[in-house]
Amino acid sequence: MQVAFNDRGETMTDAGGAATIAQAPPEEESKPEAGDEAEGETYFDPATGRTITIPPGSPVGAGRAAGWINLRDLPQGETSLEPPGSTNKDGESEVGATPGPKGTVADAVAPDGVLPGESEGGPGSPRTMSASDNPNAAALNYIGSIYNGQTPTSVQTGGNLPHGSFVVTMPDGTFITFRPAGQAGPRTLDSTASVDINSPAINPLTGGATLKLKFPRK
Amino acid sequence: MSQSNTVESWLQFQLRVLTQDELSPSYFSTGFIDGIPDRTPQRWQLAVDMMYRCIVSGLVGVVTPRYRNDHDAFFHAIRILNPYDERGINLWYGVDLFSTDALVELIGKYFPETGQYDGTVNPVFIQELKDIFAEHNVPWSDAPLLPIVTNDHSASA
Repeated sequence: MQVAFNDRGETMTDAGGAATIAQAPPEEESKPEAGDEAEGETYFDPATGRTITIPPGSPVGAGRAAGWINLRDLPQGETSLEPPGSTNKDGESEVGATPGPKGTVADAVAPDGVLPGESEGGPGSPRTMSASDNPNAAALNYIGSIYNGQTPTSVQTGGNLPHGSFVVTMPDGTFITFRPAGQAGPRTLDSTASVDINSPAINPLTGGATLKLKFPRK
Repeated sequence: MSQSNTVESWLQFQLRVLTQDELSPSYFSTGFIDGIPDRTPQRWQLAVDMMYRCIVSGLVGVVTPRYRNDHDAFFHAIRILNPYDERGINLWYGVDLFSTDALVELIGKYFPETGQYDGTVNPVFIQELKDIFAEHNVPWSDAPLLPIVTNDHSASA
C-alpha cells in the first residue's frame, strides 16, 4: 500500500485505492494506554470530510484526541472507505474530500433537484441508499463527498449526540448529522447508519422536512 | 393548486414523518409555516410547545438516555437553548425523538404508510389530536405553554 504523510506524520492518502484497516471485533472500544503504538488506524475527520489513516507506530489515541471519528470504534467491524478518485498536487488521493471549486451541499446532494436514494413513504419520508457491507463507512464516504469543497464552520460531538455521531454546520447554512449504525432509536434497524441533511436549499424538495438518508447493511 | 402552510398542515406532516423514523428536535423548529418563519423566536416557541404537548400526551418519547426518563430536564433545555444558535446545536440536533405506539396508531387511522401524501389537512385527525392534547391538560392554543428564555447568557444544558 502506498502511503504519503502530511506535516503531522499522518497518512492522508492511500494512492493505491481504498484505505483498509484490520478490525477489532464489532463494538469493542479501543482503549489507548500510555506507550502503546497504533497498528494503523483509520479515522473520519468531520472538520474536513477526509479519511485519515495514522501510520503504524503513532501514539494510540492521537486521532481521537483531534476530534476524529475512529472507525474501529463504530459497531460495524471491517471498514473499507472508497476514495473519490481525486489526486492533489502532491499525488495524494484525498479520501472522502471533494476537490475542485466550492459548491453547496445542495449541489452535491440533489443535482437538478433530484434527491438521492429511494423512498416509498412520500414526501419527508426517509430515503434508503444502496445497501453495503459497511453502512458506517458508506455513510461517512457520502458525507465526505457532499462537503463539496466547503469547510464546516462548526463540528460537534459528544453531549447529546450518541457515541460516534457528529453534527457539522456548513457555510451555506446546511446542518449534516451522522449517526452510526446501532445509535438511532427503536424505528431504525441496528445495522443502519443515518445521515440527516437540513438545508434551506434541499428542504423544499422534501416537503419542508430535513432530508433523512438511511444506509442499510447488505 | 397551492395550499397554505398552516400550523395544522405542518404538524400533521411532521408527526406522520415521525412515525417512520426518529427525528431530532430540529424537525420541530423547521418546516414550512406561513407567517412563522424559521430562525425567529416565534418559531422556537412553537417548536417548544408542540414537543411539550406531544411528549406530555404520550405521543412522542425521547430516545436520548440523558432525557429519556427526565422529560422536565428536556423541557428546560429546549426552553433555554436557542435552536438557531451555535450553543443549541448539540441539543436540537443531537437528541432523538421517537413516535410512541399511540402516535403510530393515531397516524395509521388517517394516513397510509406508503404512497402519495399531498399535504391536505385532515380536519378529523387534527380534531382528535386537539382532543388528546386537551385531555392531557396541554391544549392547543396560541398562548405559550413553556415560554422560551431568550436571554443569551442562559445556562447550558
